Order: sequence, then C-alpha cells, then structure tokens
Amino acid sequence: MNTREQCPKPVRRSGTGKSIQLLIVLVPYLLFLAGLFVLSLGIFTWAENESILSVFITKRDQPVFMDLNGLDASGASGATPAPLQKETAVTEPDETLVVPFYYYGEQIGTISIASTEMSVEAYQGDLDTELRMGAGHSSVSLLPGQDGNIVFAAHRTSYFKPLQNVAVGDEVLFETTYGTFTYKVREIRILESDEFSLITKETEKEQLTLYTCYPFTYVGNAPDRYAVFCDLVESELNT
Amino acid sequence: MRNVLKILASVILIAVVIVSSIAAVFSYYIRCDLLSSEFYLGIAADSFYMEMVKHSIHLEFESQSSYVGIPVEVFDAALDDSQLHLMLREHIESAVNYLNGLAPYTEPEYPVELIRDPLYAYLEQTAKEQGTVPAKEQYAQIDLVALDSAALIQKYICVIDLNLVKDRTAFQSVFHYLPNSKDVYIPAILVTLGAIALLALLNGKDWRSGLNRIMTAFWLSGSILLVPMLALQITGLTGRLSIETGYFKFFVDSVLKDMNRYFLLWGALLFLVGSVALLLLKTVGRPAAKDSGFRPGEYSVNNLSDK
Repeated sequence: MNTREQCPKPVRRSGTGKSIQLLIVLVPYLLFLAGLFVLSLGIFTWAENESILSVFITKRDQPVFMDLNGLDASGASGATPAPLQKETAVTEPDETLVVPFYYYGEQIGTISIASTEMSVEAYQGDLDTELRMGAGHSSVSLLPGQDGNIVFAAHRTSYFKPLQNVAVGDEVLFETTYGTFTYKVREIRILESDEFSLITKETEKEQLTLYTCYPFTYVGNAPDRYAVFCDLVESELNT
Repeated sequence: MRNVLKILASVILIAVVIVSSIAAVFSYYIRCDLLSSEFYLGIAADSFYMEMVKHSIHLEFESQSSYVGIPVEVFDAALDDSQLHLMLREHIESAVNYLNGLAPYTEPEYPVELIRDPLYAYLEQTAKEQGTVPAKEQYAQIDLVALDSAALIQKYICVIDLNLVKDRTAFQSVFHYLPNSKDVYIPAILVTLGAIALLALLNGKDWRSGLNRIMTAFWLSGSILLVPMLALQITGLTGRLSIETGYFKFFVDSVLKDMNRYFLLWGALLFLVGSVALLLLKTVGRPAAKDSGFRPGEYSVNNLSDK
C-alpha cells in the first residue's frame, strides 16, 4: 500500500478553533505568571508579618510609629487615656489608689505655680524627647499619690526658667490624669554635681522635687543643679 | 534517545540563559547604582534632602541650646551650606570607595572653628551685657559645646555610617563579594550569548524551534524579574519602612524605589520582547501542514528518526 494513501486528510480548522488552540498554548504561561505572583505576594506578606523584617515595616493605615497611649500596663489594648478630669472628689491618698501606667512621652498632667505664672506640661520620662515638650518625670521615682519622692526635670532656659522666682511657701498645683495634688514649697537648694543623689533619694513622706540646671544664665554646660522640694498638702482623686 | 538528549540540552541551555541574564541585570544594577557615588550624590543633591538634614540638625541644636543656655539661632548661624555639601560629597565618595574596595573609610569632619567662633562671640557679648569678663573655664566649656555640635553635624551628614557595621561578620561576608559582583555583568552577558548561540546550533535548520526556546528563556527571565517587583509595588513595602528620621527615610526610600524601578524596567523589557516574539512565532508564518495538524513523517513507515 502506498504510504501517502495512509495519511489522513488535512483537517482545516475554523477561526474559533485557532483561538481555542492559542488559548490552550497560553494557559501554562498564564499559570506560571499567576503562580509567580502568588509566591511573591506570599513572600512579601510573610516578610511583613512573620519575619524579623516585620519590626521595620509599618501598616499602611497607621502612622509611622504606633500610638502606644491606648495600651494599659498589661499591654492590652484599651481606650485612649482620659483627658484631665475636672470633676473630682476630695479624698486622701490611700492604699487603694491605682496610679495609671504611663509610657515614655505620655502626658501625666500639668504642673502650675501661680506665684510665678508657670504652667508646664509633665511627661513620663526625662529623655531629650520629653524635655523638649515640657517637664520630664524620672521614671525611677514615684508618682503623685504613691507616698514617696516624685522627681521632675526641665530645661533652665525654657520650662523651668520661672523656678528662679519661686519662694518657700509657694503653692504648686499638679493636675494629673487621675487627680489633682497640691504641694507647698518647703526648701530651695543649689546643689553641686556630686550632690545629685539628694534630688533622687527616697523619702517616707510624699515629696515633689522639681530641678533644673544652675546658674540660670550660664553659657555652657551649667555645673550645678537648682532644686525645689515641695510637701504634699492636699489631694483630690478623680471620681 | 537523540531527541531526549536534545531536549535535555535545550532545557539546560534555557536555564543557563535565564540565570545568566538575571545575573547580568543584577550585576549591572550593583555597578551603576549600588556601588556608584553618582547615584547617591544624585539623591543627596535634592534640595529637599539637604533641607531635611538641616532640620534634623536644627532639632538637635534646639536640645543642645536648652542644655547650654545659648540661643539656637547662634548654632543655626554656624551652619555653612557649602561646607555641609562638601562634607556630604566627601562622605559618600569615601563610603563608596570603601565598598568598592578602593580605599579605607574615613568620616569627614565639620570644621570646629565654624561653630566655636560664633559661640565665643555670643559668650563675650553676654558677658559684656552683664558687665563681666568670661572666665577661662567658660571658654573651655564653649570648646566642648563646639566639639559636641560638630559631632552632631557629622552624625547627620554621614547617612551611611560604615563605622557602625564595617567590623561586623555579616557585613564582612557580604562585603567580600560586593566589589567583584559589580563586574560579573560582562561574563554573564557572554554566557547568555553563548547559550543562545548553542540553542540556535542545537536546533539547526529548525530556526523557529530555536528562536522559540530562546524567547521562552527571555520571557521567563522577564517574568522572574517583573512579577515580584509588581507584587512589591502592590504591597507598597518600599514606602512603609518604620524610619522616624525624615532625611534617612527619604534616602532609603529613594534607593529602594530606584531599585524597584530598575528591575521593573528590565523585567518588563525582557517580558515584552519574549511575549511578542512567542506570540508571533505561534501565530504568524506557520507552515500550512503544521497549522492543519499534519505531522510529516508521523504516519510514515519510513520514519526511523526515533528508532
């Protein structure tokens, strides 16, 4: 038998057939692209959420640094801290007082001295960041209502400049997010650098210590410290 | 058997084309951008960048000012724009030369006298107003403040502070290969061309199959470069780095965006060339017999090619 006679007749394909054939040819290419895309997306999502790189990446809908104000001491998420409460009930600080936890840079309240027209916002932490914003709380000291030494520092050229006009007996008002505390200036001292421990030393009674560098008009790194020691007179906790 | 070997050789050559072409693209990127001082100087030449650096220095000066009782304006006045630009150029060139293995890394220094002189002037003016004469200790204090301020400026100018990382093992292991990797692109291109030539030779007179395989290799290389870069762009990771310092974020963002753009461009180029060529090969000028489904010799008793 002739070989040519065994050959099947060529089958002509329609336009639709050609399109289907082309589509079938394209399918593996498209599947490869889809697979590569899903794989890439998976790797980037893993890097964003699970890998060590995740600490360097922020969420699109959040600011560069997460606002930690909404977290309580246990780390659980909660509402943002309440603004300074005006409605207060007269109470004595006692053992049942629960002082809130403040993160670094979080505002604790406002310190005012009417006699010198000083009003300074008080923040947790005494790093440069807090000292740029107001008075910084030494986090190793206590907070109002905790029956101990409460230490705040600020710059002599700005926020604590009015301290140079404070006199013994002046009233210092400390409005915190959990209550209002009134102190009276007991002593003003100029301390040399080796006497710094007097500022931070523990006290049995509640004491508010405000300090800054001294002399006030010194050009350069001022060598001494100007400290104002105050005793607690009255406290009103927010209801 | 011969056909199997031919297919196996084609697959290997396609893989060689993919790997070498991607290696060439990477190496050229390292040469032209990552290890090129012109690239970094281009970013730093942006007036926005220098403004951000100056703003960061100003914030540090504000803090410094609060501690030392000297108005921040006195510090700001000590900042000399041309000196800052010169320092930045010196720093980038030194860092890039070090990364290229050409010279040891040295940090540029801001001339202390540029800060000290205005501070002395302020000290003397304040003393005059107070009717006093500045003490020697105060001059010594000012010297310290000027040194601190110069160090602050240096900190902000040195955007790639290699002193922090250059002795680390991880950096050293990368650094060992970095200068050589920028020259890999020429051998990589030669290997690509060689593999393409071999693919063409392997397919002999069947130039369509040869071209099909070459273009498939290009298409795959393009996809491997293009698709991850598209995914990166969709996730927007390059713009979401948690860097607080404005000028540094601008710098890192610029580098990453440039990298993203570069690979997108090369990926798109290879992908498009491969796609268009493959589509043309599959649709235009196909032999009528093949188009109709006829396979010459397939039904022939004389066909011994597979035996």
